[in-house]
Amino acid sequence: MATVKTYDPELLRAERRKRENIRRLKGLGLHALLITILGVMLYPVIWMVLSALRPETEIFGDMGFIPTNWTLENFVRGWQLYGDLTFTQFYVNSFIICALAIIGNLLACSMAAYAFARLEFRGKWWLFAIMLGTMMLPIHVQLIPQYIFFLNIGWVNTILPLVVPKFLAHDAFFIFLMVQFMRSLPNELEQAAIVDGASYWQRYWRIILPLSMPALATTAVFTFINTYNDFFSQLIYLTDTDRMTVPVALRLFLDPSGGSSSFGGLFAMVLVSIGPVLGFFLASQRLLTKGIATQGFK
Amino acid sequence: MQEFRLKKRVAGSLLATSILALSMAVLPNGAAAQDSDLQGEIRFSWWGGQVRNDKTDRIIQLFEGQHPNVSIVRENADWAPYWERLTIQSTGNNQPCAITMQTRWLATYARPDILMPLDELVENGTLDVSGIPEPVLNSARGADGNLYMIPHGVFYFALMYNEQMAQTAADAGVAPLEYPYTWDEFAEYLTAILPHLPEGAASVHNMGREQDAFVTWVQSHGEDVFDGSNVAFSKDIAVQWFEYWEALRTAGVTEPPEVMISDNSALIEESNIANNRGFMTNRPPNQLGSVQTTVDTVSPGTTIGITPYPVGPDGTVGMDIGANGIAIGASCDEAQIPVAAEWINFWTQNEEAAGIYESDNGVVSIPALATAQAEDPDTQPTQVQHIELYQQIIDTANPVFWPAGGYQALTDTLNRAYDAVAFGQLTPEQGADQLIADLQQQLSQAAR
Repeated sequence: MATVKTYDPELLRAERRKRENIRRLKGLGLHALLITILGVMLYPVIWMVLSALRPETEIFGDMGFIPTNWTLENFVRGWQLYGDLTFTQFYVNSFIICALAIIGNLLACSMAAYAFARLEFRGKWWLFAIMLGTMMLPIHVQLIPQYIFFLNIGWVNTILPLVVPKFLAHDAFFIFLMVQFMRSLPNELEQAAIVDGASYWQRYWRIILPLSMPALATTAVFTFINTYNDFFSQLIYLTDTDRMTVPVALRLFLDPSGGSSSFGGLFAMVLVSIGPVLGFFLASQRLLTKGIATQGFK
Repeated sequence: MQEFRLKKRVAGSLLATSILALSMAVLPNGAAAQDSDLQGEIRFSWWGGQVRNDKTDRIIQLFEGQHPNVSIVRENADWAPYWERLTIQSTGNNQPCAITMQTRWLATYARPDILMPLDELVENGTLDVSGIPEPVLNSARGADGNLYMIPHGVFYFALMYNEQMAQTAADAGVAPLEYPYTWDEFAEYLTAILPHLPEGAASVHNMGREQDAFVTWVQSHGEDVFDGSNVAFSKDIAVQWFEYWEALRTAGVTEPPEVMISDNSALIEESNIANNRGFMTNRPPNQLGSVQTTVDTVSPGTTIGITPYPVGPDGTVGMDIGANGIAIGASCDEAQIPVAAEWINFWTQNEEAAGIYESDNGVVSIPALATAQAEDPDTQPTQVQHIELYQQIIDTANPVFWPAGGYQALTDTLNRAYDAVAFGQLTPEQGADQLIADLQQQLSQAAR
């Protein structure tokens, strides 16, 4: 005779409650751990923010985490670097370079990528390999010849060495990134355009480019971040103080050679300078995530 | 379709913006010239932080106010990038007309194709060097004997100490350290003062890895550091140096090696002495004001004093002095040379300019101006100490002739060698062997 197994509903409910409690406890533990890690990671940033808001003399003197005296003086003094030079000028300089670099990279890299991804021509794979090979050249190898070249054509102390190469598909990484993306687009779309009599330019401009928006956004964001943070090229090519950019100007608060440093101004201006990068990233976060996810960079 | 038109419009505006910005970028930034005896535009480069930049800018404005047809294009950078940029500019013969230079780095650039030899301009009176002491002026010569810069500030390293800690020890019966003192007397004093310091504070920063202290040690023992592009000091003197600091370290008089490295930051705000974690350290006295300002916030009432390095067993003084000055770039146009020369004269000789600069990058090289600054009631007391100690040591100091790359090479190799000794990886003998071999290799490479 078969036995029928019976379940006590009370016992079942208790078991469920127990499982639920364990799950909640695990979730709580995990969140506590993540919050702790986040705190550790954010501590230097929070310290910097609070240091920018305390009087300069208290930055290294006051051991407390929360300032005893609050001030915006560091922002005022930091913005006015010295003489007539203010960060307004440096931001304008930085933004002009960033805007042009983004436009240049988006146009030139996407065109080069289209050629590599969708067109067939003799020597394509050799050229692609050479293009990838340029990514392996360290900047130090190119520095002096590039400088002398730009000097000889009269471009030093102008923004041209920083932006013109971008219009010539100079960043191999972004070409590679877009090639990968464009290869994943269905051929049928382009074939349909060919049937309609579309030229190469029309296929690139009307079909491929609009579909490559995530890759373009990724390129734009990384170009902005790289250009905005670029210190060395801007240091050597923009020598006149009126043409200085934000990262170069930020270094002028410190004097490791023995003079006085201005940490208050530095922290305040670093805080302000984070704003554009953060804003640009947040504004394009959705496209950026999509771009990275669809290009196999997971 | 509307979206496409919109994109087209955006693309059009972006293109127009680009063209506009590119055209703006290539426009020359020259100044309008007016009638004047002296006219033209020169580029002037210097290094420094916000305070020095502000002072320099005020001096430039003063000069431009006196010479309305002259324009000085400012090129400044932080210490390390300054030299990187100058090196790259020099490779393209695009160095500024007036270049701030330092004797420790001079040998790297002291070539007629990079810097203009200035002897002729001095002889014909275009450059005014009156009042600059001969040893200071001679320290601005290259290996070829040519004068390559006009010194405007003389700097030196010395020892900074906490005066209240010294007083507490003196009250407890430790005999104060009176200059001149030998290295042995110095070590005895530091050992004696240790029990009277606040808990956790070291008597002295471990200077085993500090090239300024090492140079003083070598010279105070009657040896030279360099002979041209060769190492001139003996292995024995290096071994003794490592043993000296190892004895102090193992006795707990200095901080442990890991702290020695982490606290060895060049930034004043992070230093032991400014944060009451140490009694004594080596620092250039032009930092005294900044150290005192930081100490005022950490420990109000504490004052920092300065004293020279110890002397050798026979009383020989080994302190090195260096000079900062202005050189003229070899690429400077003939028409710009009078402007550059007048600018150098103004910077080195003008009392008002010296008053603005306040010996910010070394004590002003003309003794009369230095005395005037020290006697000025508006001068900061720390700056007065800085100038007075300079006046005390200038006659006995022994300037080192640094070969090309020598300063950085000695700093790097001494750091590596002593770190290995302090961490127990090498014996003092092995450390000395490594120091001499590495240093010689780097000097030979730089001389090629």
